[in-house]
Amino acid sequence: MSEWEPKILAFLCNWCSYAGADLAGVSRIQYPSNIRIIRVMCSGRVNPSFVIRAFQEGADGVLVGGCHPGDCHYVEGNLYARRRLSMLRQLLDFVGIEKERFLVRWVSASEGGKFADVVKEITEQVRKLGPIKEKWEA
Amino acid sequence: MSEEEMKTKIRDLLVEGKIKFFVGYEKGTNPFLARPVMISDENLEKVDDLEFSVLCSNNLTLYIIEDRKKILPRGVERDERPIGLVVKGCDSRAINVLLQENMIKREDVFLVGLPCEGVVDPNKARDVWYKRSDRLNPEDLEINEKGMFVNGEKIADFDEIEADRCRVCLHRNPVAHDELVWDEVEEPKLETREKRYEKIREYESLSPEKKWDFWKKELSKCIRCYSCKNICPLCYCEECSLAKDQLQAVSPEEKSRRVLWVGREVDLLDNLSYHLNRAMHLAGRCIDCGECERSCPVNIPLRLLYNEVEKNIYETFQYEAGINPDEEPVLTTFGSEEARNEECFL
Amino acid sequence: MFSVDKKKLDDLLRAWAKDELYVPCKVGDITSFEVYGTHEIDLDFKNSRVPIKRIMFPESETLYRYESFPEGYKIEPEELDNQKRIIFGARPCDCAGIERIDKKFYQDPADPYYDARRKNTIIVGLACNKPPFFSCFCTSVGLSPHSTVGMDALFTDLGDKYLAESITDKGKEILKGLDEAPEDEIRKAKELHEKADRLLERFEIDNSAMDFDARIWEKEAQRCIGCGICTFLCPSCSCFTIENIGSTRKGKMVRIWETCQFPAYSIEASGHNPRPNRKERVRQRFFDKYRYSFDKFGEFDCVGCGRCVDLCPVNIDVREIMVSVKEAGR
Repeated sequence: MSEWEPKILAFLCNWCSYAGADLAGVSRIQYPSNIRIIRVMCSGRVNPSFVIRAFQEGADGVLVGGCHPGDCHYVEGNLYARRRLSMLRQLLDFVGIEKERFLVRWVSASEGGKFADVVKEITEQVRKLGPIKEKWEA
Repeated sequence: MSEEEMKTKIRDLLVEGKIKFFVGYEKGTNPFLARPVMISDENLEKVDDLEFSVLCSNNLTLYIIEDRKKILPRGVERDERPIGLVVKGCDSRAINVLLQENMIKREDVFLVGLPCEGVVDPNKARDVWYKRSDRLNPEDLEINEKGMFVNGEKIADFDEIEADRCRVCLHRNPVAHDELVWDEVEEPKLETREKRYEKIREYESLSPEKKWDFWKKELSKCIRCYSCKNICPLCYCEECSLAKDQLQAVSPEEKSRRVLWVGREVDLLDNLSYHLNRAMHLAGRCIDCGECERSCPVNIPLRLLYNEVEKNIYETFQYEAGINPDEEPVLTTFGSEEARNEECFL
Repeated sequence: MFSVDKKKLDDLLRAWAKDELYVPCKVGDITSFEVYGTHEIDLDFKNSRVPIKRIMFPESETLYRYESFPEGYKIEPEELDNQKRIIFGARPCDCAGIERIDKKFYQDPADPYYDARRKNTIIVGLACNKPPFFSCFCTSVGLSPHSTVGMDALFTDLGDKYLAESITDKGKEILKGLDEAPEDEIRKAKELHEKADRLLERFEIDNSAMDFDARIWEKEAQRCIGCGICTFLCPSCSCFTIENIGSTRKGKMVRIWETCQFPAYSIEASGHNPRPNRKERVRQRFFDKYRYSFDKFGEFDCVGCGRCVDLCPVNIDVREIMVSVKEAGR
């Protein structure tokens, strides 16, 4: 029986967390390859429907990365995201998609190490939880 | 003011042309529901039949939006006069949310407030009537605030047929009104807020597997009729992003840019996606009038989802939808309350 | 005519359950047709919330799949569903609804997806001894609580026994091996049928009095909210839309239930909508059920099950409207 590997989908903001991920790559910092990254311009772009769709399509975990609050390239986008996604996280937990599957983290462009840590964190949490209970067959 | 004086006032407003039309409740062919009625200067005799009773379950603020969405024939000017309507405690909060979101102006509506101590759930009443009576024709059926009576004999207490949402209602008196049909009633005690979230907390304490099984069973029933969305006064988007039932006439470029984030198939995951997205769209806006759950043809417990979001918003931001029309809606501003609440993050 | 003892019903159902057997079950507060054995069976029911059309014409089904390859597109029609099914306990109005849907889907060319399911399904009806809803009006549309239209066999509840009557060859097939019914039981069933007929109030429907330009449509449509419940729960409504799900690279075409009460149903590619407001759509529903179908097939599409009357959130009552149409026509 093949080992199941978690599939993590990440929405990273262009200016901070995506650059942080790039830095991790350039500095040759190792992090799990379970992650697939989608670049958005700002974490405030992340619509709850994106996250729900990701779980529907089979992502076992979702990570949203943005600039630190106060440092958003668009001034306040990540603050809206924080408010919106915190409510989404609790709603998902209510229907049975555990909180540990959906993380929102602030990673700046110079924090390559932190990005790698965050990816390790979510991969391990999701590995412990197991695969998502129901997914679409293509 | 008494009911008679109220009716006279409404008739005067219509005759003088001060309001476009008046939306109230009247007795229909369904003995468990007082249905909406539109009165204009062409059917003034209906003012005498206006009903203010425990059968008034509908949320009439929906008709303000409906009137706005109407497509008029070419050359016909839109009538900009205000609309008169009857609002219960919950309905009046919908008016406030619409004001907050600049959907209407206060002068666009004339509100007749109906202080309410609970209404009857038509589905519950119908089930009780079938089980406890042998009647086919409900001519001898009477429902009032004491219960259900057949031929003068009581067959159900009011508690058994009261709508679930009324049991945990926190705002019995209209928060916005121009007139009141009768005196204000006593507001419920503070303990009701905890009682409101009792059932939600029960569900929250289940394991993720049990939660998923519960929602899997419930959401598999959904037939995507969209009646929950269509009866909600706060789902007023002309073209809904979750349901392609109300398409607008747009250019080919705009058509090609229509993105469907919620699948249209009627299967568990698409249904889940539709309901979760709708719950998020109603975060901080839902006033719990309960009409969505009432009109659902397959009895999905929708209020659990919306009340869960309402509870989280209240606990994190101390914000309640529709109380203060001058407040900023909670998800369109930013602050740091959610960062301090451990439940939200980490 | 055969007789089935109520105590032996479970054995009969178990024998039938070799094929996929649907029985009315209690699911929460409502009754719904589910596969035998998955839920608690409920034969004391009024009528199921969703009519039996969903078994042969599901809410959504895949028609074909496509995928793009360097050589071109590969299109694969979905395999037809030839599962053998039996539906037990369908009310006569629902079965009549199936007959109306048959007439629409079997027009030339016949719909292969519906045909595969329909011809492999045997429908066993259950007569209404005490017409369930106060909103029932099947006798006003030319049917009855014991009508056999659209079904293969009819069961009548005689108290401690059922009388089983075979209507078609398929019905004769599944009732093979049951005991012959004695004369007194056949007579009792006939009495129950006649009694049920008398319990329903009849009103007359005069569809020639339906005026396209009358004010009544505007008046009734004022409170309609366009929820579509009347059409989704109607045993004879069968409109659908075909949607493309997926990308240009890989995807599928899906058929999904649709309703004429949604604005998007009639919107044209130019953006013009011939039924822009509720008035036109509510009027369309009445004309479709009582006039157009009558002109085309010689019978009302409406089967008088009363679900739309019971469940309309704003109490738009088809009986009330048809009666006032008749009054206005006089």
